[in-house]
Amino acid sequence: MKPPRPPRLAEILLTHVLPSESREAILGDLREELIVRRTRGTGVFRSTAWYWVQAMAIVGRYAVTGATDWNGFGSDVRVSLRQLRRDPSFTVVAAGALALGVGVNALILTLAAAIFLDPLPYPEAERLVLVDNDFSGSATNGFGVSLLNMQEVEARNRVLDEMALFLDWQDVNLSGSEAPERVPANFVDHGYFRLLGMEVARGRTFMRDDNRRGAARPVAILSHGAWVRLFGSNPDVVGHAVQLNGQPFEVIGVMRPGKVDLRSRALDDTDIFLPLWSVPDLLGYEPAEDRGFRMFTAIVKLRPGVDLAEARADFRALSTSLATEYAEANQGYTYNLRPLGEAFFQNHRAPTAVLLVGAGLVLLLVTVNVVNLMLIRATGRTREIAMRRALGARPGRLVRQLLTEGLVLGAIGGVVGTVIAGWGVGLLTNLELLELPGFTQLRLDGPALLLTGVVTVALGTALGLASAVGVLGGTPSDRLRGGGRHSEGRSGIRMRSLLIMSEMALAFVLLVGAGLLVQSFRTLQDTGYGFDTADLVTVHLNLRGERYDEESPRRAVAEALVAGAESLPDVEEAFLWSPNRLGHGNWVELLTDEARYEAFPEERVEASRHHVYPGTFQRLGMELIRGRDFASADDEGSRQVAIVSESLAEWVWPGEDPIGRRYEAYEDGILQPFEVVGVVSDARHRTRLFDPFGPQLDVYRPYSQLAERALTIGLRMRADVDASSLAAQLRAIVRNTDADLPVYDVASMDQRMRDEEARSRLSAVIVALYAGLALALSALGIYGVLAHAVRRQTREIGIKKALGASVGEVMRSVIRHGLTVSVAGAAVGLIGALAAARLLGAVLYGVAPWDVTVFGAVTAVLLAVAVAACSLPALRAARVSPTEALRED
Amino acid sequence: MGRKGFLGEFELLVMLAVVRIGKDAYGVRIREEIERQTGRSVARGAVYVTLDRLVRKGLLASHLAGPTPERGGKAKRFYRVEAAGLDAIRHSRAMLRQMERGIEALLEES
Repeated sequence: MKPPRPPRLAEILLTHVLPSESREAILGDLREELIVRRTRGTGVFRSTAWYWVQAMAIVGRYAVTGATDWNGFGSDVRVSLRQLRRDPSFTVVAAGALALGVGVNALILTLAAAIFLDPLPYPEAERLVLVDNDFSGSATNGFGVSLLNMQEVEARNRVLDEMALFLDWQDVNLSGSEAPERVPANFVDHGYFRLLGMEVARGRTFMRDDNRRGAARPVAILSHGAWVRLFGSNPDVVGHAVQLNGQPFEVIGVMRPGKVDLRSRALDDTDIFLPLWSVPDLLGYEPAEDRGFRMFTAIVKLRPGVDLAEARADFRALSTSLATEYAEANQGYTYNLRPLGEAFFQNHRAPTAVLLVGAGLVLLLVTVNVVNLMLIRATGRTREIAMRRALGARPGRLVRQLLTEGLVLGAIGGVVGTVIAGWGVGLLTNLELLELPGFTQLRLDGPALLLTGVVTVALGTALGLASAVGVLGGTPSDRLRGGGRHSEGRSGIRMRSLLIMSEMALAFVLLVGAGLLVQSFRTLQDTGYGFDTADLVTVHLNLRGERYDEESPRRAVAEALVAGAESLPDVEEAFLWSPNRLGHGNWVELLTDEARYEAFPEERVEASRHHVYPGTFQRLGMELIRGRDFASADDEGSRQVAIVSESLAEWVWPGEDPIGRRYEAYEDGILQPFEVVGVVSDARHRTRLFDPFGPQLDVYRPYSQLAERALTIGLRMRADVDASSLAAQLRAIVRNTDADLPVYDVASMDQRMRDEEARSRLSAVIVALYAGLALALSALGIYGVLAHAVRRQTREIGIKKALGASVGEVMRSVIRHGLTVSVAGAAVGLIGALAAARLLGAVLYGVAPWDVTVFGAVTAVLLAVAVAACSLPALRAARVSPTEALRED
Repeated sequence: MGRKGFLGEFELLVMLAVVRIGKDAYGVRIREEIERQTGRSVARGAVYVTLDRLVRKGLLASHLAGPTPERGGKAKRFYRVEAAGLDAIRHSRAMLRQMERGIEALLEES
């Protein structure tokens, strides 16, 4: 067997650090032990790792306590600080870069710790799993589960301890509190609270008897927040009667504060908990009669010892047998099991992982760049150090000094970086945009702070060792002879050039990303909805309960509100316009030719249906392109008429005149014929942003022919008005007609637009931050490599100058070197950016992924930065005096 | 040197190990001896740094022995105790005994 060799680099390191009299013996001892280990059968990798650990431990011991004792450490720190003060530009740049690198990492680590590591605030949360349905025939997933199916799952599975169903995406009208409100509700099984460890502070929780069809009396439990906000923390609220969607319920309990409900994983926090079995009464759905009715989510607790893979396998088998037994309802559906943490952070984990990788990359680039700077600085100090060595300074002592310098620099960067991160965490906590669940706590402590500390120390050590290796390579006599120029060969320069190229390329890609996002954000700001949003406020109503089962009371309320609103002094005009935004999606399928629909179901047209008054289009500033507006003659007794959007007309009747064409659609459960009487310009009712639902296929129907339950009222204001005072005035109007009806979500279109923009602003800001970091690092890299080259070539520059080269020529040659590398990097970046921008395509708005302006601007910025970074070393080259350069030897 | 003759706890352990091993006392053996006798794990760097210090204090003497192939051609440094070193060990023991006098019973108990 060939005798094992210790890792060369570790041996070199030890050679430099150990005092000469013990060096050989210690290296020999380590090698001997390595051989013993290998002959005892330790693997190559493990024994090499062992050697490294020992080498680093010994280096650390000698570097810190050295051949002398601890007394020198304080003076080393003082010397280091003096050295750093002597070269303030180096210190500021290096410590600043380190601070940014450490700061970004600490910040992202804090976020990642909260999202990946912190336990969820539920008992045995690691065993909790959410179950919903995937459907193989659909691009959109995340169907709910069916009640009837889950009853069989509960009976037949072999992996679950407990299960609870809930339906948490509905709002209900609540009255009987201080003022009627539309509140977020959660319909839950009686096991729900026990599974999540939620308890009542007052009253009692649901019992099995409350949770069955036709329970003795309908009951409800308030969340702590709702109890405070809606009932003024009334201590006697238990036993109190409230109206929900117009039906009487009794409050039987109030939850304890501080527990986050599952509804908040995707939506807002629950205000009111209702028994699952009030779904038919309150929402009009009959889940127990239709196996294909998938509305619920299941929260399950796995049996101890059962892992997710086993549970998934069991559910796979269950879905297969359910699909065989009840083919019609279950064909194509499979169960999707997600750990609760994943469900809570589904929108956060992937971006956080990307940010984490980005932060690591930044730190890596920072380290490489600062090491570069230190090496350059070390070359400048080679003579000083060589002199000290020649005068008898122990290498260990010198290494200790250099290591201390690295550690001091690292410590400055680490402390400043942590302060930056602390400030950033404060900022993140205030950003509701992150939409983190309420229990998430962003704190710069625990694992994040520990890791930051470790990173900082490792960074400092790496910096110190790098400059030690840079300074101490070779014997003192080599060093003295070689002066400041003997340092590294062409391969070193090539390595650094490659580094700069990749930094430039990365900066290019990130800058293009940021540029495109900013551009798309600006386009978005200039984009309208296709209707006039100036001084427009929208208000919502949802007419629930028996009294609104007929159309006429619905119409009466709507008309009373419109008339009442118009009488308010601040309101110029009010009009009905329903439903708009906020996902009251009234989807209709238009059948333009029934035979064709049967034959080609994929040709059916899905449109969203809105209800308007005569004159609404004009008041919204929408253009009637063809035909006529609705008129008061279009009422219940007359022909059913519709106005369609421009896009829909083009989609369904391309190149034809749609006026007078007919289509059929279900309305109120009956398939009815409708006649198109007009075409109106497109309006973006949902969002100005990328619309996943494709083109604006809208049909408008007169409110006089069908009064919807969900409706929007538009108010054109005379002046800016406070939304909450307006809401109070509107509530007063509605109170006259129906004291239990909430008027909700009163907000100006300006506000809604700002909310909508906030998300794209946030992502633009984050990408821009990373792009700025990458740019700064490239500048630093270019500066470093050129400064180094200039120092290396001092003699050549001196000779050139002595031979008559002008200052301009000298500077040009330095800048040319820098620009060549930068342009090459930018070229690579261009290709990368074209590829990356394509990925961004989906979130861009109104800007092409290859937008020439953005690419041009990025190129210009990068080159300008490159020139700026080149100019300092170029100036230094220009200042080289031929006589001094030649004398340097 | 005002502290001459005074040994720290770890220094004492290293000195005693060198005495116990005798002729064959070099880095690897010394560390093993301390680990074997005290049952505690000892960092190599600590041993080497301490050996260097004890040599500088004149308590240990060392010499290089011929290189062997299994050590990659590296020489071994052997250590032996100087007279001053033995004095230091005796001094440390005497100090310990002095400090223990009168409280032996108490120390035995625990």
